[in-house]
Amino acid sequence: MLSWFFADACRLETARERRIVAWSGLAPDFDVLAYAGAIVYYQLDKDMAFEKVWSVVHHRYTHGIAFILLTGIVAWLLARGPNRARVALLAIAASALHNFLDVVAGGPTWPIYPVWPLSDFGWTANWSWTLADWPNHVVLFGCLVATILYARIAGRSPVEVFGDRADRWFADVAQQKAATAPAAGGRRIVVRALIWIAVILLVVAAFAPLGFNLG
Amino acid sequence: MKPAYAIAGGVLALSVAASAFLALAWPFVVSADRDDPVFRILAIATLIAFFAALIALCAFRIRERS
Repeated sequence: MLSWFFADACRLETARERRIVAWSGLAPDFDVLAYAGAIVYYQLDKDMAFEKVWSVVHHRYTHGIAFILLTGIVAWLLARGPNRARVALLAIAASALHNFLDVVAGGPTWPIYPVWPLSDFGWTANWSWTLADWPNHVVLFGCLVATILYARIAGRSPVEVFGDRADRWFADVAQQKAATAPAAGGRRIVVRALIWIAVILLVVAAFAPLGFNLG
Repeated sequence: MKPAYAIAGGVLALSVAASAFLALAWPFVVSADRDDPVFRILAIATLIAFFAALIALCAFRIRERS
C-alpha cells in the first residue's frame, strides 16, 4: 500500500506505472514463497519450516543492494513509453524504502543483508520495533483509512495493484455508487451492511497476525 | 500550492535518499553499532519526514482530482 501511495505521490500518471512501483516495493518479501514451499515440503510442520527455511532465508537474498538493482532492471523492462527510466528509478527507491522500513520496524531479530552475496553481514537496530508494536499498527491503520478515502475522493486506490477492474469495483463501493442502482431499499441496506462487515473483517484479518500488542 | 508541492517533493526525495543510505550504506560508511544513538535519531527523523511528505503529496493529489 505504502509503495502505491509513494508512486502516486510521485505523480505517475498511468495505472501500469503505479502498479510496477507498488509491486517493486513489495518485491523484497517475495522470499515468503520459500516459507510457503517449506511448509508444503515439511508436510505442514510450521515449526520445522520456520527453523530450516524461514529463519535462514528471510531477508537474506532479497533484502540488499543486489536485489534492489534487479528490481530496477525488471521495472525498466516492464515499463512502457518515455517514463521507463523514471519508473525504474522509483521502483529502486520503493525497494530501498522497504529495506529501510525493515531495519527500523522489522524487529532486531530480523536483520537485512545489504551487500549479500559479497558479505553475510546483517544490519538492523537493537531498538527496532517489532511487527506487533504500536507504530506498525498506526501505519497499517493509516494506510487502510487512506485507501478508503483515496478511493472515495480520487476514484482510485492501492487496490489498483490487483487490476483496473478490482480498483474500479473498490472505488464504486467506497463512493457508494451501489446506492444509485435500482434495487429495493431493504436490499440496498443489506448489501451495504455486508460490504462494511467485509471491510471490518478484512481490517481485523490484517491486524490479527500482528498479535494486537498495543502495549 | 506549487511551492508547497515542490517543498514536499523535495522532502520526499531527500527522505528516500536518506533511508537508502541508512539501510544500505550506514553500517559500512559510518558505524555498524546497532545501538548508535545518532543512527536512531536520523532514522526516526527520516521516517517522520517521509510520512509527512507522503501525506502532503497525497493530499495535493486528492485535491487535484476532487
